Amino acid sequence: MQTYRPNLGATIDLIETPSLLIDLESMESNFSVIAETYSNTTCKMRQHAKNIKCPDILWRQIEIGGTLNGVCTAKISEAEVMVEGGIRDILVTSEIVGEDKQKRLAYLAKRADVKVCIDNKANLNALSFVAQEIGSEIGVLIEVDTSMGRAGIRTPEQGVELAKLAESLASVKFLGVMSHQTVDGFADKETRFIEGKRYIDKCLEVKTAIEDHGIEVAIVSSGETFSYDVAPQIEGVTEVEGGTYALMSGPTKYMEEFSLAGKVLTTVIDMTESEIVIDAGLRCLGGPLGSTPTIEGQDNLGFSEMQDSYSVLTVEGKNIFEIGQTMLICTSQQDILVNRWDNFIGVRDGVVEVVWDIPARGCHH
Amino acid sequence: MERPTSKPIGHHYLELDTPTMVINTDLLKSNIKNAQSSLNGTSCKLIPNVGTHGTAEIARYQTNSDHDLPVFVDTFQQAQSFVNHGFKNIIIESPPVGVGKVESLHRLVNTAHITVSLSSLAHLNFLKYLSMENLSVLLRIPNKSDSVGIGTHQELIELVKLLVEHFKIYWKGLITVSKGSDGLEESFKGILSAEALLQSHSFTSNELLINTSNQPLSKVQSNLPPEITGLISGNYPFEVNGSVPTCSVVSTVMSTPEPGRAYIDCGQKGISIDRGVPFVVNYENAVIEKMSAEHGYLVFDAVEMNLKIGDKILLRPANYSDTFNLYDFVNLIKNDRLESVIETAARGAFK
Repeated sequence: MQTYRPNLGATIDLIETPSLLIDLESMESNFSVIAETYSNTTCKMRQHAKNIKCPDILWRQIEIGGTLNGVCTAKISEAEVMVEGGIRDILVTSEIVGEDKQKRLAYLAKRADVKVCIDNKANLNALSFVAQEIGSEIGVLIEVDTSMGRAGIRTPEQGVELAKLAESLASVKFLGVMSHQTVDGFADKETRFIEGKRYIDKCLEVKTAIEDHGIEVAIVSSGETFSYDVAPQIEGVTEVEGGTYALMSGPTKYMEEFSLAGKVLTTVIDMTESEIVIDAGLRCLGGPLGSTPTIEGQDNLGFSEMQDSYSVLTVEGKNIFEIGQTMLICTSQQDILVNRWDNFIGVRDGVVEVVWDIPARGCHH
Repeated sequence: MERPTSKPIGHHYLELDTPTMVINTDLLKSNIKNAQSSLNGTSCKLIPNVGTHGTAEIARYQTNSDHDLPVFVDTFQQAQSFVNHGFKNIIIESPPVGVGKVESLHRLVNTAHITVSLSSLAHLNFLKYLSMENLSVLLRIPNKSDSVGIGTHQELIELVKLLVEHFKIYWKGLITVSKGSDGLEESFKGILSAEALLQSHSFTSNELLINTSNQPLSKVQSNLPPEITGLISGNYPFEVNGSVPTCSVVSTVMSTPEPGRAYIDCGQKGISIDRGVPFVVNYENAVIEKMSAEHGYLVFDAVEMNLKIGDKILLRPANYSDTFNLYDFVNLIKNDRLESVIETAARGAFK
């Protein structure tokens, strides 16, 4: 773990590079969009902690508003970090497999309101068994695959079977259904609404089928950043699992109401006639399967090569850059990048206001 | 920070909390030994790029625990991490640009011998106020596979003159980076022609280093010119010989939603796909279709094989360096049992 922390009050030019910055004004503006959107709705935001990995930042959204005072996590270890950070309502959005992890989940359920998704009977039976042994109760939501071909039940009938089983088992409490989906490319508002509704409707079909069998469905957790404004307009959806909106990234720029808040500060460390070399490479930026970031305010620069600890950028036109010059990288993706850093440096008007550790970094388990 | 459920030493590696990175210690040691012996009888020494894995333990295997032998890192923070673990001779790839890095360098030269790689007068100017003891300089020569380095022959000569006559920093020699086996010949040519030019001006390098960190060592060493004094390599401890991987990530099947498809608990946060998707080691008919941040999508022919929830999947990363960078700890395995857990202390050392 690396522990560099700039002094609070330091100006941005004194920050060592590369560093992961949060533009506080942009992030707070993003949080305010959520607070406003959900101010008069039954449906609320359940922010996804897998993106930010820092309870103190998640608390900021809870304080600003629009949420149900809880978060989602992808893994049990992340959920533990959130509970330790004082958040008491957690939905783990992955199936938890293996006795060790199931025990951790069951123990955590003694300390907080912990829910987990399921998509098969064996997993549900195992959770019930472990929770009984430990003397806790775990809330369960059925994951519905609506578009992505990943985990989740494929038909409403499978959902009904699982809900019935959950109702019959001790130490698990059937709470509802959940789903996750994405849209490809730059989606305009009309596409977001059409696609978002189509996916969410699939999840609601399972809800209806379960209710038709006399089983109450209290939670429908569906939608994310791209459908944050679609989901609350659909009757029956109780919460939205949004995460990307907090910091945003290049591929989600089409959501113009949100601003890019997470950026990497870098320094030009070398140059040729037509290229510059910066001190941020694949290790700190990530670049899954060749995706590349951009440089803020520098349309004439393009990433031509990313190495472990540096990147080479091609300069279009005259190379007027200088060794030692700093610039901001607008990232091509977000949570994979955050997972590589040990802290965020929060900056407002060019001054360091806060340094946040990222305690759920590396929480793979 | 990682929070696995700890398992006692001696535990079977397939029962470790997943996803987790495991290294077969016997294969690791054998790879290191083979690599070292392959350069026996030559004047070229093998310099491990320990930034690839960021662990002091593996670096000690690579240097036979001789902390005076040189190791190569990418950044100043990585150098500090290895100095903290007792290493005393470190070559840093990154030039010292910026106040923070110059201060880091100043701290480092107080406790270890540090060599930095430079390619311009601007870099040299950052060294003006440093204590010169314990500091050496390599000049980086570009080649057809790597454009980074000193721009012209004239600049090279001027830099060497400045170093020798004015700065009085120990100028050690030249370094070049080969970024692909196709460019290997060209990188050899580049550094040798630069050295020939310097010799024609009465300057002679003590070291001619070539960094081939992301290439298989076997491909490099067979073509190595005798003038090269050091070969920097990062991947050789983890090279694959036979069917058993030296380094892999263990993951678990967490859902089997339809025939021929399994969903595993390792995604891009547990194994990097920055330079390609991982290879499935223990099921030859299964491949990774794609990976989200948290999970992997495994597809296979449901007629030929079946997977059930809880089954273990061994993944070999497309690039080791990228994946070491994701873990705070890695597990050393001997005879399929956990032998020790080592810290990747230089993980996240980006500065």
